[in-house]
Amino acid sequence: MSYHSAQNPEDDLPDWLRALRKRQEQESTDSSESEDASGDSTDPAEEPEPAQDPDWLSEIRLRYQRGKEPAEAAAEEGHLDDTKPRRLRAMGNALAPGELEPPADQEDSGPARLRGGDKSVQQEEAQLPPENFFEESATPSRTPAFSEDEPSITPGELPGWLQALRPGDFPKEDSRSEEMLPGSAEGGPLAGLSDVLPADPSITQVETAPVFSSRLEITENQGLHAAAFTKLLREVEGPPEDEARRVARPKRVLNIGIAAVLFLSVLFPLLTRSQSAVRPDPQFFPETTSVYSMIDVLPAGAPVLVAFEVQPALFGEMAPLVSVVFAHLLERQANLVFISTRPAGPALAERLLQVQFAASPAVATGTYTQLGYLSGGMAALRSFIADPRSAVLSTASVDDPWQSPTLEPVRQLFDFALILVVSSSAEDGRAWIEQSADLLPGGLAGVTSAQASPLLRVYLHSKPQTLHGLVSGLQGAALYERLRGQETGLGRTYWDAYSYGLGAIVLMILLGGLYGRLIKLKPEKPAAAEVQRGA
Amino acid sequence: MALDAELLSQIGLWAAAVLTLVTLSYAIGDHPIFRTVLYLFIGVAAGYAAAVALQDVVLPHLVYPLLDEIAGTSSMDVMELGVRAGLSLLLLAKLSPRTARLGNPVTALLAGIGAALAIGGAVQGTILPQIGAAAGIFDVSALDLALQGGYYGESIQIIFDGSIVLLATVSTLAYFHFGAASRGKQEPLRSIFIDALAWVGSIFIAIALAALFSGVLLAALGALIERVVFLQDAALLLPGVP
Repeated sequence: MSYHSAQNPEDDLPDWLRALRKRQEQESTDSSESEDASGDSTDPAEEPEPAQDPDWLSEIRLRYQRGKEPAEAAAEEGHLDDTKPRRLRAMGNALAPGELEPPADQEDSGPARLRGGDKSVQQEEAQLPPENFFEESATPSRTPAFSEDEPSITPGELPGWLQALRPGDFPKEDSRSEEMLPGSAEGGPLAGLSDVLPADPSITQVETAPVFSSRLEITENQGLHAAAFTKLLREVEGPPEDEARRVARPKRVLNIGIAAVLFLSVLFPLLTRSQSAVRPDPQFFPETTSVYSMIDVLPAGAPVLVAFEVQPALFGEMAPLVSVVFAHLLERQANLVFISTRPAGPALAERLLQVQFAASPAVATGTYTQLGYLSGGMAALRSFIADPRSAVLSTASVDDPWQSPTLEPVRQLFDFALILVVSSSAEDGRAWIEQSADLLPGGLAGVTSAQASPLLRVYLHSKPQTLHGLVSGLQGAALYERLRGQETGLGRTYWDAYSYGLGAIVLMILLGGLYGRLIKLKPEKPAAAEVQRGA
Repeated sequence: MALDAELLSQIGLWAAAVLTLVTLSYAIGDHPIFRTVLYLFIGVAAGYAAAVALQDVVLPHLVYPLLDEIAGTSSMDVMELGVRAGLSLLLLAKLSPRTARLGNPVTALLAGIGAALAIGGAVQGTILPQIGAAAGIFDVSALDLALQGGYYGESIQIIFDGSIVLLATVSTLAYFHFGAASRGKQEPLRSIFIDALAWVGSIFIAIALAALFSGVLLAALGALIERVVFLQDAALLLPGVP
């Protein structure tokens, strides 16, 4: 049922609320009867005994009462009237001046007290529950800050500490209506005073957060770039986790399988000391035969420059190859002179000599020369090739190597009987070839890793020829040993394992290619089955 | 107390064996121990290079001469020593962003010299000799001699070699020719002739890349064999192994 109907709104209240109202009215009637019986003419709104207030508070009230002129109070009231909500102002206008402060009994009746006022305001109020309903039921009656009818109280003295605690400008009481008054303190030294503490903490003033637009204002060109970038990211995005896991497991098994096959194919010939694999035929590798011939015609004591550009990672592969070439050089009693543009080069050369050729007279007596590390990269290399004696060498501060009898006849680089570039990478070998192309008509000889061979091989056929011979990889080591007639050596020892391992690699590549071809020929599974498997 | 050389050798041997096994364990997948060993290798290599540079270059060629100069016992030319010290200080200025500009001339000097040497070397040592080698195949004097001598088989081989080299060179160059004629609003298109040559060139490029890949594979196989032999020798040193 709506409150807009002509019926008494009290009829619409629930039973429990009507019972509560009735009980409150009964209590109110009882108290007024008892007050009438006592003969006191106190106002119904009069509040508890002033004796309950402390002395200092009574003094303040008294001072305030004395200092306030009636005209000032009226002006203040008028001023405060502007601050009233519109609804209250409308109510004030509608009511007669004498009705502005309704009696207490009418307050309890709620919307009924507004029957003589504006209709719209009445309807608006009729939709609301009685204003003092919750106050009456939940809190005791409010104590006003002061009363006009209170007898004067002897002023008391505040203790010093309390005086210090109290604010300097004591808030003035205002004459705003109770509806406008904020909550007053109900206990402590500020009991009964309103506007001292904020009734509503600021945290209760909840406002809707302002809404800002999250849309970027971009140009069409920027949009195209963003779309292209998004597409790029989507393309490089990895497969879903399930898919990655599904693919990773067989891949790991395949990796282990390949490693096992390779390891076993290498280990088996080494354990059985097999020497069944046929070594390469020299007639198919004339570049290796050239190196052999160049070394084989060296006179005893000929200075040979060895550029030892070997990385530690490939020292294992280079060791058999370099060993057999060095053995040939030492056999020809060549004076070996080492230099390197890599920091680890001199140390690796020294290690090879001490491990493999410790018994050789040249190594045992130390007749070889270490020029050491040539710092400065390509510029230093060019400087060394152009004028070896003026190059800044790392060993120059210890002992000038050019003063040794071995290097005494060497003035220029082409004074060396042979320049041998031992390189594990194509870049180092190419640097030596390129920088010496116009200064060394005799060219160089190369001893390189298998990975550098394809790139350096082209210099064997260049015109003018800049590389006169090349030995590369384990195959070169086995071939060189065969040229020297060696039946034992690292090249021979490793050759069977190398051949078996190479065969296994070729077999796995063929099988892998065949498997890939078969997979392509296999009809694709239906999309539904694919989705089900992915799920 | 100095450690015995034999003991040090044994420690080095077993450390190398363990590190080799950990490195080979990458076949079963990546794991923290493998990564630790990897970082160890990188750190050792970098540390060794720095130590060599300091001991063999910086100290003997810059610091010691400066100290000798201060002590008045230097045999080096003061001007040369000043240039070394000045350029080194300017290069060190690169360490701080505030003073980095001071090091720019030295960096420019290094980069300029390096580039000039690289380009000059490539032209003189690679490009011109390669052009000469490619052109030398079409020297008809060798073919004339073979034909006059009645070596017909060799004559055919010379022609075949020349044809292959010609085809490989032209088709590979065509593969890297990206010029295309404009067709109005349609996208530019290469000519069919260039497209066909580029397709042939892609075959030669694939063969060249396969050769490079096989070289890397063979080098790795050689290194693996050397490590397996090393492990085998180390295992023979274990107590109880015959």
